[in-house]
Amino acid sequence: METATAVSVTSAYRSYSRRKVLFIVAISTATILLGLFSMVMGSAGLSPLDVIKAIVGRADKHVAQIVINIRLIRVLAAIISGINLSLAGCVMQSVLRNPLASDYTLGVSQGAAFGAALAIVALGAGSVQSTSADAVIIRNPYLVTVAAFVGALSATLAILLIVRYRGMTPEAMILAGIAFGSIFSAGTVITQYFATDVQVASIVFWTFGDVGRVSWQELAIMGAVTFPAIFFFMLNRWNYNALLSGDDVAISLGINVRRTRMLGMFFSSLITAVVVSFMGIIAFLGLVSSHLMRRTVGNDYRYLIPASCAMGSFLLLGSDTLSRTIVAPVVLPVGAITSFMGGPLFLYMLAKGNRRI
Amino acid sequence: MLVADCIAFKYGTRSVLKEVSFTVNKGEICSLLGNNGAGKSTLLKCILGFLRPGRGRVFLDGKDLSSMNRTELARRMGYVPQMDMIPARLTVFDTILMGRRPHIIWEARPRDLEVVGSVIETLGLQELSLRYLDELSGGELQKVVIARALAQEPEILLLDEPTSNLDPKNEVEVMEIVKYAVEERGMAALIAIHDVNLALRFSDRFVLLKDGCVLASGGPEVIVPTSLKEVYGTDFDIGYSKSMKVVVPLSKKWEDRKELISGGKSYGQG
Repeated sequence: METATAVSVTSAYRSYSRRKVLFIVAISTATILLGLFSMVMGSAGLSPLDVIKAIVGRADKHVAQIVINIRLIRVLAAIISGINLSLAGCVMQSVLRNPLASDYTLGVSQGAAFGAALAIVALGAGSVQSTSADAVIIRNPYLVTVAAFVGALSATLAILLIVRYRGMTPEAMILAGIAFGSIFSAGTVITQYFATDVQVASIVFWTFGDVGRVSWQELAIMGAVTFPAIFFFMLNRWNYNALLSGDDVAISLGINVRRTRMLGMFFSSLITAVVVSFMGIIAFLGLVSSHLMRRTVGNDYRYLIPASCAMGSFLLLGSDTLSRTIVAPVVLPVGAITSFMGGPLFLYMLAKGNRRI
Repeated sequence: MLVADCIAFKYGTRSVLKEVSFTVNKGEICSLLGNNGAGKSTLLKCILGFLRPGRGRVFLDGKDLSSMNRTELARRMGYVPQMDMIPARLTVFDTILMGRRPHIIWEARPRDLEVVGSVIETLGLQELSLRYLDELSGGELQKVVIARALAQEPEILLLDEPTSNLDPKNEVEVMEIVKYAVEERGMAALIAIHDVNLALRFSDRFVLLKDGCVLASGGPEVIVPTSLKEVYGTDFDIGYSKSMKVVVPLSKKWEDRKELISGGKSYGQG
């Protein structure tokens, strides 16, 4: 039997949940509008109407070429990378119970970059050029992705092992991540000196990622990885919630904690790897977007996962638009913009001693 | 209802539980007493399946727990861990809703929300339902954790020192909630507890653990000075307050030392 107060408690909860859904819808809408704006911006002098016409296939060939193959692909790449990096961040934070965890702070991105660089230089999956416009040419995106994934996974395994055999504070775990990250970054730089014709440009390629390098084929590979990963993470959203209350509670709620943790890290590494292999390292985005959303929609993964996806793509798209316009016609690497955004937040979190999620 | 049969468990080579057998019946609260390190928490974890006992089996309604899968275990047993965690930043309602996890396939149905609503109401947590856990007091937090276990609608509750950090008012309230749940819902509860008086006041049955074995088990009649001395290694006085049995631990060593320090006189006179 349900009484009046029980009804009012559940209806208050329902309206609280509805507000979260509305918020997520609002950010997603803002992302789409920002995408249109981003496609309008640029030297070709297009109007919003031109862009919409091109998307629905009613523009002339020249305009369509610019809008679809230069602008749209860039916007989609930013959206998918934003989703991937923030998903990886928010899942890693739950399964490691560490609010500072993310692809970048744990060295997973650096591991992926090293793997990709190795595939391109040593395994012949592409070539490193000296010009800054096309510093790296990828000929075999599958091989690059697999190698990046192996690199990301080795950083992940190193973190998992160190967590398992030495119970660690969140801060110590991040220090270990920084150590792994530096080792991998050094490996990447050294690898590139073995390439035939190398200059600084190609090193910047990996250090500061850029969403403007992607081909349609590469985008398709990213999508093929991203959508199953979103589904998998959503399937586990209750488990991530339960992990927030500790392993014992999660087990008592019927959760296979070890498998949830391993698979969570596995898929996080995979989605990080596809981003890094084609775009390089985009620092701090995963950390910033997941924390902005923790503060607004809260830690409930049922809402945090879609909210982080929306916020991640909004932020990356925004950063990319900024990087194209701030000193136009020069295009800055978007990774530099996200670092400017994320660095201060990371310092703030460390200073605040934010040890819980 | 719950039958533990010859449970043995070792951490590495250190034997924590040697041979533990006891029964908890439906509608009963059973207190697990023993000194620090007697293996109370370990025993609870063996029953819950967190730890795999080296020997022995646990039956729930005649069914071997080791033959059940994770979800079935979670539907039948609710666990209230020791409070040593930093609370997560989740709302009270979301936390209690997590107790429905073993019953939820993809998303919470209206019935799940109803169960949570009625548990919140039963425990008087309405005012707190949209507050965050880290804003609650210790007593409120413990009630939320118990509420989560009740939302699981289990047949048996296992509680690990549920009153250890609480003030007397909250201690009693928490135990009353457990008693209410056991009586109203026909559940059973197994509580690892240090406070012998609270145990005496609220439980029907007692299991006294000593060196990994059951020293005594049964009703309040097993709580006598000799068994308590055996378990805790100190003398106890037993008295009555409002016809409730009350035990008072005495410290022989301290009495001796006091005499030594003050040369046979007590401080009051010196």
